[in-house]
Amino acid sequence: MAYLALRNLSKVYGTATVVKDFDLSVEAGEFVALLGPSGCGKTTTLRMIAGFVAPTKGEIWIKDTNVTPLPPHRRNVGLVFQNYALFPHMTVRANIEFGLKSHHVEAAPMNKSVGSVLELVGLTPYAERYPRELSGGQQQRVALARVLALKPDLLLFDEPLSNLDAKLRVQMREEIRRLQRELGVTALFVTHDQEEAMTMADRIVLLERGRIAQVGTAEEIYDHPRTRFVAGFIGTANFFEGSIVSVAGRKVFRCKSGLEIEAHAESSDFGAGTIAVRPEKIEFVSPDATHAQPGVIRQATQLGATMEYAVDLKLGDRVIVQEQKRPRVALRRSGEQVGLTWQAADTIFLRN
Amino acid sequence: MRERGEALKPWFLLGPNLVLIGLLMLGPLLLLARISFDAYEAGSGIIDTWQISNYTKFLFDPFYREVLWGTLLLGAEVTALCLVLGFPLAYALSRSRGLKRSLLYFCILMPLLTSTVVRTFGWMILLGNNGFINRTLMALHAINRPLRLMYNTTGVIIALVEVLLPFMVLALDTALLNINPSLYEAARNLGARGTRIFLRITLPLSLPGIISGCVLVFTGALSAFVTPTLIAGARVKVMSTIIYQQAMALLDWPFGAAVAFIMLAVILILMVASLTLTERRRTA
Amino acid sequence: MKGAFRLVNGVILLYLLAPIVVVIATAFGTSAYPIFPPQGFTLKWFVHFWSTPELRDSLRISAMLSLTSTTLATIIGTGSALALARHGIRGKSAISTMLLSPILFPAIVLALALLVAFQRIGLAQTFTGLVAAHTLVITPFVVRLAMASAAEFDPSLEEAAQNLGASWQRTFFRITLPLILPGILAGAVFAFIMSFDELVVTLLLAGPALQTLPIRIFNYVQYSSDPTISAISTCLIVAWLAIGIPVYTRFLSVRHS
Repeated sequence: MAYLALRNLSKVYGTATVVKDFDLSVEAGEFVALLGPSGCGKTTTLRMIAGFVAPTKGEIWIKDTNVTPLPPHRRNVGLVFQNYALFPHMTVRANIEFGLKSHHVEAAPMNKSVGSVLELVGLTPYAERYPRELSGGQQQRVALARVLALKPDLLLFDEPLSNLDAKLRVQMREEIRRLQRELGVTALFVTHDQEEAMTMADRIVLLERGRIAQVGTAEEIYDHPRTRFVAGFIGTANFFEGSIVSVAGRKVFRCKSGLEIEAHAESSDFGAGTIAVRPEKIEFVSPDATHAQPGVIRQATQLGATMEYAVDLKLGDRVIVQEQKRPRVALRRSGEQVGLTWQAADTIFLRN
Repeated sequence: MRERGEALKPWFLLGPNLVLIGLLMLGPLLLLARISFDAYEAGSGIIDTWQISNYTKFLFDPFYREVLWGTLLLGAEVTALCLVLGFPLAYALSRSRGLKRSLLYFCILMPLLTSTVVRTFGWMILLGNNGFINRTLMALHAINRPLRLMYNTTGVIIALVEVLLPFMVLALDTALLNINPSLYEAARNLGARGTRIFLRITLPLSLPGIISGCVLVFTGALSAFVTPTLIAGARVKVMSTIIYQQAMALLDWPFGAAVAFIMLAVILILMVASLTLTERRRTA
Repeated sequence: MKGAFRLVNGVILLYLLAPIVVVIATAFGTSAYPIFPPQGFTLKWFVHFWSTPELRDSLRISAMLSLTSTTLATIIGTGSALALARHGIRGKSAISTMLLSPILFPAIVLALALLVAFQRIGLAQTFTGLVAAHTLVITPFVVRLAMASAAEFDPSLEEAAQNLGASWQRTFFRITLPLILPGILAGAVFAFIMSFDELVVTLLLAGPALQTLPIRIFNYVQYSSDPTISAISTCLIVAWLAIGIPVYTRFLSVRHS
């Protein structure tokens, strides 16, 4: 059986179903991100695992033990809070000792544990400081050290990086990941930031309105989204609505606008649906090239290393194209006539 | 299981206080309400019955009607004086910063931390025929005979305004501090000058504070007991001294109870009126 | 204009502080009745206060009454504050209005109601009755101040404590209580002062055997004039200023926010 198993977990408040039939297995040592927009139920799921919210239905198993009926303080699950929740009236050392004392750890082993976690997060010189005397990043490390000292069966993170500035956030991502790998601890990480999820997690669980939309690695979800919601939430995509029809023996996707796209679809895929094409998979060609879709650039936006163009096709669809900047190649301008083309293999067919 | 326990916990915590309020406030007030409809006869005591003559006696007997009007008038005069004296002080307080504000604040807090009995005692020393005020005025030859400042309404008003003034100042200070300072700058930027700013910006925007301060002071004056008793003795009768007299000397509790509920009714009307006034302003 | 405004405010402040200044000054005067400005300087009225058995008796009664009712009020009020600030319960604002209502009622009305009720159950003129009445009157102050503290308290700290393996008892005594203690203490100090100074309710319920210090002062100044009262008052003014000013500032900032 899996290290952590969530079985059929549901939470209903009055008439609102916040989490519905949540099934997930996590292997030991895995780092899993729970990703989704606000209100998707990711934090509620985390709080059910920590024991602060009782599930309406379903079970939580950790290391072959059903922890569902256990109160929060009996679960040995470490939670890093969004606002860190450091005890303001205690020093860094006392914050870390608090959990060890709760577990009646004796003085000698306790001091050893405190010393080693402080070293682990690089805060040994700050042991006697109070939380308010520390920077955001340092407070974050204390919150982490405090739960690591207890050697938890499972680490839970509730959007722990959302209060940090952009640079520090990237740095902490790497540090959290490094610590998690070194200690081999299993972790569940709640976030609404797709970049955070994609760079940190072994696997991503994407949630939509209390249900799992898709589970997989970053590549799997990005390249093979199963629904329009997933394709739109992870990265950006151009969506064309229409249906797959057979034209002279070939399968062609015909859009409502009349645009025809050569579709990469399984033989069984027929009928109405949506085609998604990632903006970086589209190429510019000359407007009169064969098989190219002619159109005109309406807007050019700087994204740094890449340019993003909004192109209005002759047939009426608006398409977003991203193009890498290259040496000695001039940028395209708004108003320029262009042709667009893409490989059939780069289209994603999403059945309605 | 756990969640149900969580739901019961607040009621467990609130329990003692709810019992306290129920047994010692609501219960006794209900009993008092019942007793206000009883009759009283000297010699035989309280007679268990249902009648409204305690209320009609207070409202229609010329002597008591005089007490009711006298109390209301006293309340109105004290409130008006508190507003007039309190506004400049509150304005200065709300405009000052740092040490000056702390000092002013201290001067206004100190009376609030001193019991009414003690402060009224101070006024007795000042207001007597041989008191500081009369002796000073006589020494200055401003008067030939001592002014009568004790044992009349004048003395009660002088002392009561002082007793209740801090409440008015603090209520006004809150309201004045709530006015966004950039409004003054905007008004000045639009060419308005001192008086106009005061009349069109300061005064209307501090109205909630004026209303709450007035309600606070009026209620305090209406139910004041210590100051009228010590300054005026038996010479000035107000509602609270009537209640006290009935309760302690005459033992006519039904009548005292009726007066108490008439006092509560006056306060209730006042509060509802001021609430509607503030509410209407907010929604308008 | 500005000078006139300052003068007006100076006069108003003088008026506001006059009785306190007078009471303190007359406590040190040598004449047999309080006269302002005082003549000479003496501490004999303070000595007289301390050496008069009935006054010392009153001080003892007042202290015991205030300490007992403050202890009760602090426990009861803290419970309410925690419940109101920390738990989403229905009718919260109605309940908090009800819990704070004893300060809204005129003391004389509450006093008569308690007298009528206590007479029936034999609590009138007893120490127990006084403690009950004082607890009722001063609990709202504790509720108000402790509630402000409890509302500032971040509930995720309690969750963090439980997550770190602390039982609810440990969570309460090591995390919640220390963090809301300033508010509770402020409430307790304020409640103590209010109880010690309470006159009207006590006057109706006390009876001859339980003359608290305010009652004693009240009776003295009605029928006689004696600088000893000034001395007692001075002691109270100084004591309350010492313990009350920091607390009172807190109370006001709570009321203002």
